[in-house]
Amino acid sequence: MNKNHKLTTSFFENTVYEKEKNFTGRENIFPFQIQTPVVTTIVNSIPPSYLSKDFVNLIKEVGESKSKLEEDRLIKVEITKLKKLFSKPKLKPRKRCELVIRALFCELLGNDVEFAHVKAVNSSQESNLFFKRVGYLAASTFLHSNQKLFLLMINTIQKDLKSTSPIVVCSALITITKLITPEFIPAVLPKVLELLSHEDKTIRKKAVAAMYTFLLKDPKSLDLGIDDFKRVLCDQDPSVMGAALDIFLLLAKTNPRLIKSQIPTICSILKQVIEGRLNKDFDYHQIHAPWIQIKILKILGYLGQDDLKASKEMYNIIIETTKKAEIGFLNGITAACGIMYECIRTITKIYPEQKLLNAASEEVGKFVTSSSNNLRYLGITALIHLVKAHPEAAVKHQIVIVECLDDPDETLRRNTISLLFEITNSTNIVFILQKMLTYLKTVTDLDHKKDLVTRMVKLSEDYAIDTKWFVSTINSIMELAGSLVPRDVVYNVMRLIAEGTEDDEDEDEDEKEEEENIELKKFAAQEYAEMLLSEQILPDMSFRLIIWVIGEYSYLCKDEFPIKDLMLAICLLVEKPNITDQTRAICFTALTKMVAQSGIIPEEVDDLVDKYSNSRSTDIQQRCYELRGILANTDIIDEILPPDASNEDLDFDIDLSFLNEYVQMALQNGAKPYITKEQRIQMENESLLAGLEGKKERGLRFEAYQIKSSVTTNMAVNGPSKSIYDVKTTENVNNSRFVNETQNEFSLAPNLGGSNLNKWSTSGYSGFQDENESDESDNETTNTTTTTTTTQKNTSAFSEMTGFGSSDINSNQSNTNTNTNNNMNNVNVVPNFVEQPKQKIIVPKKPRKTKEEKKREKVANLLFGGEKVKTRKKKPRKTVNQTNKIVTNSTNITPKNTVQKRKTFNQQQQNIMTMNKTNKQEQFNNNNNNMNNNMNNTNNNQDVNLINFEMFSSNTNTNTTTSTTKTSTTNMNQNNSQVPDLMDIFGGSGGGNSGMMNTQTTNILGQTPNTTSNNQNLGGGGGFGSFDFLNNQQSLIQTHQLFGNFNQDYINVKSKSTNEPAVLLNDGTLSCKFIKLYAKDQLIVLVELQNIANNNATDIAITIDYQNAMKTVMTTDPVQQVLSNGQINVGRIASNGKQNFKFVMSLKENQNTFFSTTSINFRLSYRDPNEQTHFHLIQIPINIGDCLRPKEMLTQQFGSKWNQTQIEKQFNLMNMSNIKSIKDFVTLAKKILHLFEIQIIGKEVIMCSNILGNENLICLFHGMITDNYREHPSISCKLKTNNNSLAECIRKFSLKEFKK
Amino acid sequence: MIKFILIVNKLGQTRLAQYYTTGLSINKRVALENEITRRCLSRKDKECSFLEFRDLKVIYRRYASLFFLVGVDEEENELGILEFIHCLVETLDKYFENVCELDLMFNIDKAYMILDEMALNGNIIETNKKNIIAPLHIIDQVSKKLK
Repeated sequence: MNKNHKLTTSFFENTVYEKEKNFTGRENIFPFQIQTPVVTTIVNSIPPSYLSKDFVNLIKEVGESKSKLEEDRLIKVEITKLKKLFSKPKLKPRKRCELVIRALFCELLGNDVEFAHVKAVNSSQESNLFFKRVGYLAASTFLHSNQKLFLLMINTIQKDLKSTSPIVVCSALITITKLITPEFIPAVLPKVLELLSHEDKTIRKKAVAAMYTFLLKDPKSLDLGIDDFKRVLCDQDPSVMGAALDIFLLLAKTNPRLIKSQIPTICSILKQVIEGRLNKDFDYHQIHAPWIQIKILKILGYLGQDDLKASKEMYNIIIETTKKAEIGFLNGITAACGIMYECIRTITKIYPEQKLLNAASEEVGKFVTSSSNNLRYLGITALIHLVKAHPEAAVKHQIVIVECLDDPDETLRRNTISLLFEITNSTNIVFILQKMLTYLKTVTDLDHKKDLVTRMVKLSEDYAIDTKWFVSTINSIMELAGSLVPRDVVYNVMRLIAEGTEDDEDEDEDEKEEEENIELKKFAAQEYAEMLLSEQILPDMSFRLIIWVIGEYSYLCKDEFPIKDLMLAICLLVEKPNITDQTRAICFTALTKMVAQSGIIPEEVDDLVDKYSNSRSTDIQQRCYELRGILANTDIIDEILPPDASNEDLDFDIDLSFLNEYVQMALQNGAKPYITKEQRIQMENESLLAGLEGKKERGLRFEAYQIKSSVTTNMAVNGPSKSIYDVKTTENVNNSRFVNETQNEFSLAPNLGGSNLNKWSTSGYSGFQDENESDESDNETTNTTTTTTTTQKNTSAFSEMTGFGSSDINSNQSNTNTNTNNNMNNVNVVPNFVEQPKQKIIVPKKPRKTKEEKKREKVANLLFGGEKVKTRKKKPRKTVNQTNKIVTNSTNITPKNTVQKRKTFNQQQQNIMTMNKTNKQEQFNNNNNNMNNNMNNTNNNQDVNLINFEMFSSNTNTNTTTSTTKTSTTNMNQNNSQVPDLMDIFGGSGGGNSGMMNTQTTNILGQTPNTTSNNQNLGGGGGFGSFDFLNNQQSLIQTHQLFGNFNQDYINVKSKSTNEPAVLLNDGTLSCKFIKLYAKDQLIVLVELQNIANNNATDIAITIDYQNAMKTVMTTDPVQQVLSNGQINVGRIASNGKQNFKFVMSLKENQNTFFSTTSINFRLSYRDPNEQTHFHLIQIPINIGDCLRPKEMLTQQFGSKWNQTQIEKQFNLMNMSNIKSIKDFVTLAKKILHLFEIQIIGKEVIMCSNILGNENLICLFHGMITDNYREHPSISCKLKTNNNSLAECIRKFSLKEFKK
Repeated sequence: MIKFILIVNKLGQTRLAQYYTTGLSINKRVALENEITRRCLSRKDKECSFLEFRDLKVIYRRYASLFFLVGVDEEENELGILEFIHCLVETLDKYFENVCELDLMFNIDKAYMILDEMALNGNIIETNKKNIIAPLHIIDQVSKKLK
């Protein structure tokens, strides 16, 4: 064995075969001259010594067999033999190798040799070079259909890649190119990359080929830059370079931008090649490396496509190559012709250049006038490309084209027809279509025929000279290949006949047109009548057209074709066995029309109607009865079936309003109201879920029925027919929901009634509606919200609920958050509620849970780990969560704070700030490095996983977008690869570092905050030390009562999906924008406060409260002191001046509870030049999606993780109107949940992300488009995480966000 | 890109088949081979060496009793492939010294190996005959020792 290895290591320098150098070959090979190096004499062949006699005899027999049948018989016998031999125990490697070769032979002849697959794999594991090579060879041939076994080989391949024997390494590499699948690429990639610089050129070549395979099968697997590719391209060995060109060709097709910079290199390689500077061994029939030339020309073609600059770089070399090739072409060397043909193709592909196009046109002439069919064929193909850029090229060669059209060679004819499609215009259409019809008759290949018909129909539609011609052309096509004419074309023809031409320019022409249209109808009727009477066998679709036209317009040609004859012909047609019921039905309608028009009913028709009145097809039956009905009432015939009325519009009452009365009657009589399909499906789902633990509910019920009062209220909503006994889950939900809501409302009222003294502006009112909605949706979607509201209001009915609400850890998190909004809601809701109490009832109500339901929920909580029972969701509704809404209240008060407090905390705050600064700076710098590295590695900035600069968009919103954010936006878009520029977005010039991490100090315009004056403006005492917004709000209300005339600006920020910073506030004086940036383990929120008015805004004070769900560090620019309660006195901001804030949020250590939504809250107060004080509340929503980061993973890893991960949540996204395919869903999921797309398989997708900064807390996501019986697809989602709270948050958040 | 390389004799019996696309079952493969061979065999000498078949272009060349067929996609250079076939035949001829059909049958493994040296991934990777044959001879030295 060792001997073998020694031998092989030096084989490339082997000179044993030098004697063969003098191979004279067939230098003077002229194109297409048939060579005969292969002779069939058996005498010369000596079977190799390792083949058994048995097999040698078989091959001889097969060789002598006179037919395929005989051959098959012999092989069948052989396979039985092989099976037996393979099953022998202790098979010697030598024998096994021989058997594998025999199996290979059988497989080649079209037999499945699955029994030999494992043996081939075994053979590849041998150490003997020959056995190994044969094993690999057979395996790579067999395993195309049996990928599973490849798993067994991967180890051997890995080992062999490290072998010292070039043959072994090459064998492994060849096998890789044939069998590797994307999931195994990482297993061999590092070694293959290493082999790229192996000293042996053959290994380098094969390694390059393997790289090509990787790139082809999974472009993402390679993380190589252009320099790596360039290195292999510039390999000193021409074969390696040739193989590298394949990679470049692939890149030119898939990612041309990457290699555009290499055009000069590629051109210089081509120059070297055509100048013959490669080794003479690469010459082929006196042409220098023709295949390499062709490859380069192809690459240039792709790179120059639609790119003038790139094309200019290559014009010269292309001309040069063409000239060189021309010499060979004139000597009749095929390879040279090939190069020339490729030159023409490249010229037509790159940015057009007249000189080159002229040259190409000339060369094409040489091709088409050649006597060789091969060259003529290519000439025509080249013309097809050329006419697109150079239309007159074809005119020059028209004679040749016509010749080729009649050539006996089918391939040539077919190609010429393709050319005709390219040169058709309105002047030659008649001739060309005629030619094509003649050609169509000769075509037998169905695929080709279909293609041809489609293109012919398109041409006749595009260039039709008139409608008559069009109709008759389509008729001719249908006669030849009716079944291939697309259905919509047939309908088009029908419409065309019925409507005629539509030119309503002139009144005078109208009459003429009318005449023309009637002429057309008559013509069509005649044509089709003739076709019908000729009793041809036509495809179904053609019959439908014929019958319909005759039914409509037969009266126009009754002189030539008596209607009775036509009716009889139709009767005959109906009886034919090979037409479909649909066509039969159309026949009956046509008969009905004809009977109506002519007033006669032949006996045959009568009999036929009798017969088909009992047809198995209800459609036909119906039509027969209609016919009978019409006959019985001859006086109304004209009204029902007026002649030529197919164009008239019919009015439909889509709402079926005429049935209203009937419905009302039924409802009064106790019928159930109609439930839409959507609702029904929802209900089914719900009851299915409920069914899990609610089985006993189906039996006898021992509880009392629902309290009457709530039911009656409900009835007022849902109509009188609602059965009280029908206390199914959903209805129950419905009822109790209402109760809850009402209680909720009423409980709010007394509390806040007192504040209902002020006048509310219209903006306030509109604000209310939104609030109202959000309030409702809160209640509906999040248990927590309801919990908070209710506990706060001490609604006893809900105290129990809070009990299991607590298993939802989330509730604690969002408590504060909810408080804020609920309180704000209170302010707004109540006055309106009092004014319009009725409105409340109309709005669908929220359920109060019955005891069983609660019990069920409890069980469900135990079973599903806190997942909400789905019965709560009545139907998908607009769910505007409070956090999506940025509410700003503007009042005349200024923040209340005491000087003392401020002073006391000043020092402390400063200390904290400095600490934060240093920490943060380090952290951020690290981050910067990370990001920048990443940028360098990957060329596609957009796909960088670490940071996603995409603006936060799905949640943010504004209805006052008047502010000008354009400068910052463009900045953002241009610089989205550089972190240091981030602050520029808001900060202007990137100036000196004021000791704060990336903030600039250049923009300081505000004065030092004048705390004293600020405080003098305060409305009154009662400072609030804590950031309890409840207190805030209450003091707000108090102040509100003190100052009667305050401005109310409700600024509700609505959903917006652009890449601009979202506007939080714009009241004409100050504008506030924010943007979210997604770093790997941080969430960065940048906020910019800008004075957009012409005057200064003074006494600006901001109080910040970030929800403590995450660790948050704030920095400001210009630097401001932050007081312990979060207050910052900005002071003055001059016109166009800015104040920036930056929040860097990261997860707390050991954080294991999560939120679905939280927020950063601001209170902003300032005085405008008119000395009026404004007060705003601003909220920046942060949701769980912001905290997820894409996690790269392979399918396999996903699989194993999936099994390891315990917590699973399921939910369905029903009827998603914004999703058409799984791709859309993936795009949406990436945007909302920042998931990494691992793989899409059919209708399913797997994705993964991790929570920021914690690689171990992952979210595995599986989405599948489910069978769709609705208008839009539904997606069934499963997610797995290792944290229950996280899973629940993501589920909640997804349910809400995906619906938007 | 080359989709397949096929060698059949004039009776339509396959002598070598190498596919560069995956996912073709044996039955489909046999059907495809039969159909293409049938069409090629029916063509006359003077007609061009190309054949359009579904989305494939088949380039073929006849050498005595054997047909060499190469299926390619739209962008491949037809003449380049035609010459590649010739290069393949020359290489086989050089290796087997006056190659014949039976040589290919007896040495099916070697024929495949030669093909593997010349084309990978459906791309022409080597046309230098010396480079192609060198590894074959090494393997031969090993296999000849087998009895």
